[in-house]
Amino acid sequence: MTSNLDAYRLAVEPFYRSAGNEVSLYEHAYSHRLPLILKGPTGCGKTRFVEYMAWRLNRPLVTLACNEDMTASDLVGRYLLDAQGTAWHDGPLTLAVRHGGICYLDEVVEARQDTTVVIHPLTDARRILSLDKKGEIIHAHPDFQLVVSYNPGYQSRSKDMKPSTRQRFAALEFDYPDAALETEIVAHEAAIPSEIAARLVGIAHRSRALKHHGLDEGISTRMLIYAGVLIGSGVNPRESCDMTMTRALTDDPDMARALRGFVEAYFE
Amino acid sequence: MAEEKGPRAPNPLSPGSAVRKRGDDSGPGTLDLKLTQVAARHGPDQMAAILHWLEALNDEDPVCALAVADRLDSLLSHMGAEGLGRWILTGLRMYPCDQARQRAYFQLEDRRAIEMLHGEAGAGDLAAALPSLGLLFRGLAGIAFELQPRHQISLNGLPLRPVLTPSHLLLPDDYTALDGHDRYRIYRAAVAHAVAHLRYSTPGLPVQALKPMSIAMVSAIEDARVERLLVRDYPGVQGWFLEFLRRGVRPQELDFSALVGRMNLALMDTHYQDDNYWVNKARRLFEAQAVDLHDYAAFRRLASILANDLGQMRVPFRIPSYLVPEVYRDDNSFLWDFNGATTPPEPVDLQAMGPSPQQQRPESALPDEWTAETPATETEIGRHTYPEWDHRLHLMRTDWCTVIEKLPAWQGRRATSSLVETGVAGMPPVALPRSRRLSRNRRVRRQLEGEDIDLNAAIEVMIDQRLDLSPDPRLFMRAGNEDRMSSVLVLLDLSESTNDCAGDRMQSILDIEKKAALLLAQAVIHCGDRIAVHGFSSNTRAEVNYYRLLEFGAPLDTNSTGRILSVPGRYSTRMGAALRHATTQLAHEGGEHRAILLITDGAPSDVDVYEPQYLVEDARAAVHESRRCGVQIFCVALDPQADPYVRNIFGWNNYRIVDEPDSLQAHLSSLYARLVFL
Repeated sequence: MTSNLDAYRLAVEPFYRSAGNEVSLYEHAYSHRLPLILKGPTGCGKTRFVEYMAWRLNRPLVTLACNEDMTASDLVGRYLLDAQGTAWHDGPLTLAVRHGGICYLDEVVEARQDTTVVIHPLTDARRILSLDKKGEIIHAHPDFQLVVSYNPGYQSRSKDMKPSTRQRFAALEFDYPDAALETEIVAHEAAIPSEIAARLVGIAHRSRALKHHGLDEGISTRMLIYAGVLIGSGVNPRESCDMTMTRALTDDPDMARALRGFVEAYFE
Repeated sequence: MAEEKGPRAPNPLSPGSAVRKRGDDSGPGTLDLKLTQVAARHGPDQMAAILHWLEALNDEDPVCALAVADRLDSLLSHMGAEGLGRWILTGLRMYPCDQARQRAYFQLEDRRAIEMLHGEAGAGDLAAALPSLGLLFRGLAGIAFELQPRHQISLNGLPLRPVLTPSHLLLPDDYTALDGHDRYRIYRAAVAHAVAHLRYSTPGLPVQALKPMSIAMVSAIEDARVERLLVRDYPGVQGWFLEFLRRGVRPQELDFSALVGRMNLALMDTHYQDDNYWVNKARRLFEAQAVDLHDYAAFRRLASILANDLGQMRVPFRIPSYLVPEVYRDDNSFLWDFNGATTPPEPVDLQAMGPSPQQQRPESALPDEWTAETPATETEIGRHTYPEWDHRLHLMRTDWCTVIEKLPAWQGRRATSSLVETGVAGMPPVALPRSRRLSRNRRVRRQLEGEDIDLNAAIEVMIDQRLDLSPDPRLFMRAGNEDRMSSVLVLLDLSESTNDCAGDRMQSILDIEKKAALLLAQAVIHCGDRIAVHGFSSNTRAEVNYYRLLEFGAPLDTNSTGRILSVPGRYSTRMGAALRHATTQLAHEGGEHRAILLITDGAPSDVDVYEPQYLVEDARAAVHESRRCGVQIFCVALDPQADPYVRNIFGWNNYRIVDEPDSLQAHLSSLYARLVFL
């Protein structure tokens, strides 16, 4: 039956540099199938970490990006019409529960709270998923694990997790890696010299000082990699940074001017 | 250093004005008419500034002033009052002591006058650049720092240089097209230079017996040293500095300022070639020492050698006219402590550089009358008693505080300070998000995607299929969204301390609070939600004054605006009782979202409580009670040091500290979003 999830297996090792002991902590959590929350600012490597762990544990990874229009049916499945009448189609969560994969709900707080309650019976000792429209109860496959992520920085109060949801999870907290490690990551991912990567990281650190002073989030590691990729393919560094950082991060002309100042302070 | 003051605030068209008198002589009423038209078009503030420059020019040369007055319309169609001032400065600085050419310039007969006019027209004012410069500063230095304009008011004074103090960077507003076409680049270099000093210089070293020339030389070497250090961190800033180092250099001249300018360039630009022995010696010594840029003492010794050389070369140094050659570098007063020195510089008066006097609160002039007058005319509406939490005894003291509901006294025109005209009206409205939520009562049928199959559509699909027709694929249904109503009560802290000025501004915290409340009320009423504005102050537990300034559902008309603007700041801050009363007010509100937004300037306190933690704990208890009743409480603190106690009272993520009154609007908007998306 696992063949259903073969498409979700990762063939190549994803690049991930550990910043602490999160890999071993995850392995311990997985050995007990504890559901996990990964929290941290956007673009700091949460998704990459899950991919890496799924590869390391050799489990299929079913990823779902949550949004506020997502309904419970989008998670568990729904009836569709075919030539004979109606037919049930499993949703991604149901697939992972049935066949034993890691289900990763990215930005889980974006989903409405009434949607996320369907995961409650899955995340305690029962480990069951009930498909009430179909009248079926699925006992989770022994390999199944639920991982969710969210960014505690910018969401509104409504987008906090309900206490009843969050208390079912163990949590790992992520942040941007320190300058040396971040430089190594950017240099590797964008295939650029580490001297340029270090400058990009410097710009990011300047912008992170403006968090809560006009910026919700500073420049993320992911943005640095984008900028690095463009620089690597021959785009002028200032233009790459303008395209991937300044314009991407803000619409406020004053803020954009200040960010451009940071870029120009590092790239002549 | 030139004498500085904020722009004068004259009566724009006062009959005694010298320019007007000249106009009366030359043509009957035409100048008057022209000035009236200009005043109508540009508003009183701009007009005051324009007249200030015209009169200053009139003192220099009346012919020039008249020439400008005659062309005022066309000049002002290119630029504002600040630009005009800079353009006039440019003419006088370009042709010092040359009356004929000055006149040609102001009569627009000089080709360069037009060039400079276009230079000023596209330059952009300092005020527009300040927000972005503040962010740049914060990012580069990693700390919050106040940036303020330094106004030039004199036409014949020396050009201004930036001034750095441990808490402020003052940027001159008199850079002209002669200093560089894009003024932002000068300001940017000034910011980077100031960051370099803050990071690497030791401020306030004693001058002791150092001669003025040595001070200037040590300062120049220190500037070069810290800039070199900064370039190590931020390689790109070298270009920022070089642009102006190159611009200022005068290779043929041998006076002190020219030599130092050449040296400054030589120390930053490795490609620069200079034929002067002294400049090259300076470069050689500096580069030899540059392996250890952190050794301040070595650089100081080096500067002494160089100053000594200049002394022996008999290079004259004239203190009154000496100016740091580079436009972006500060005047180096940051580096020195002139106490006990023989020639102390003029003190920098921070107050004088604040906003113009007309922005001062009118009531600050008469505090005694104010407090004496108000209680008599306030209307009491009712009295309520509330409990208070004593954290030492773990006891809720029942009926402990008396809250007295009041309507504030109507203060008429006097109280409606300039806020209405300058503050709220001038600011763009706060953009508010709508609160929407999913409603099971609204089913959206015939959708391409959805949770459930829409039975009617499904039957049609089946029929179409049997008839071999192509079926309509929209056969799902889902729940729709519904706007939801929210009620927000804005609670203003009206304690005595709110009469203080915010930071170094001339605006009181109370004015900022009122402005915030008005802006928010305007925006909320506009988008259809319900809002009330109440305020409180306390004078012991027996008298917690609670002012009802704007009720739920009431329009924001002249009456309510007047009430908000006229309510005085007095007494103390007993937060808990006020919060409990505000919660009771919200209990009558039907909206699903009920929230209190408290705007305060400091920790809770009252004259009958001596333990600082007592009222903090009580407020915390009140916040918890309100949350249990389904009322969310959020706090905006206008006190940069508020973090420890507001966090304690309101909890993580339920407060904002606004240290920049300018950013208040952005905070309000994002905060309201948090409040209503509960």
